[in-house]
Amino acid sequence: MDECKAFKKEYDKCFNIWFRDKFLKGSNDDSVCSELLKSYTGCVKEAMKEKDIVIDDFRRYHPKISPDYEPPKNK
Amino acid sequence: MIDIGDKAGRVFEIDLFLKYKFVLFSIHIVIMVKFFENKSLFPFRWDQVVHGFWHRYPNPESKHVLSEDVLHREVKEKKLHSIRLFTKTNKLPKWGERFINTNVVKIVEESILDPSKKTLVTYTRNVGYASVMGVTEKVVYKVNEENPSTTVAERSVWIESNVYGMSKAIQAFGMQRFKVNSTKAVKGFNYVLNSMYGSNTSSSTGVLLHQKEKLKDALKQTNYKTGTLYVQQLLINSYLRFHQIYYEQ
Repeated sequence: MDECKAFKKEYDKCFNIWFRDKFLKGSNDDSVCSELLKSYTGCVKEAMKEKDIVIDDFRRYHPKISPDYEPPKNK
Repeated sequence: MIDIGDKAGRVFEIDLFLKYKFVLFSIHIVIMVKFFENKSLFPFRWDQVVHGFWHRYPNPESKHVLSEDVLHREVKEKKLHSIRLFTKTNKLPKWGERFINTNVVKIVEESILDPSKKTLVTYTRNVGYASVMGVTEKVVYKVNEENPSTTVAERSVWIESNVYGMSKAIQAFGMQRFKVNSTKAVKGFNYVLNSMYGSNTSSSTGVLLHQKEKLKDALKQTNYKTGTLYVQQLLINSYLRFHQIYYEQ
């Protein structure tokens, strides 16, 4: 979303370093970017509301496709 | 292929009829058919591919992608779960314009990345349009056992619909488009990987290893009834909207 570009940029920067240098190397602690993620997704949710994009709609997955997969709970 | 444009008025009539019928008798028949799968090779290590996965956009060939956003992300049981939302402009052939209410397409991508097993599984589906016709694509990225410095991607596509006649629609649409689009997807991703890591081999455009058409199975599982033209239209729109985010322009 255009209005969240600044948040996204900050978060992506943090995530990319964490993903490459921490997560792929065995660390599961994702707290380093969690505040940035929160601000960013908060902005996106607001933007989606304004644009009438409904969140519930994509909380769908297909048991037939992936019996093992349970999607994360909302929020 | 199909002369949809000339039949526009008729299609609309059938649309209304089906909706009316569905409400009146509460008919809920959901058909889900896996009708396409293929396997492709990336000449990059798995960790390079999954890192590149988060950088697929923007690229010079993705100007139609309006936004790419993270909706949710967490580490659960040592796996990274992400949900992303994409919006894109809707560039359909002229005949398609009259059927489309909105010019923005929404695509949701759910992914689970397991660093210990070295797998990335992604589920991508269209949103908002899915009540009549849903397209879901699953891709599994994993280390190529025959050559661990490369990565394979196994792609499956499902179509879900509550309307009869789907199989005929698939047939009419033509499998050729699916083949072409899959190749384009691999090519696009490799473009990004090349710009991140340089070329690993002399031919780094990605290789389509094999693909299987599920059309015959699809025909067995669904019935062809009236309203085929309408369904063809839905399928084509749905598929175009879904796949343009990856492949077109």
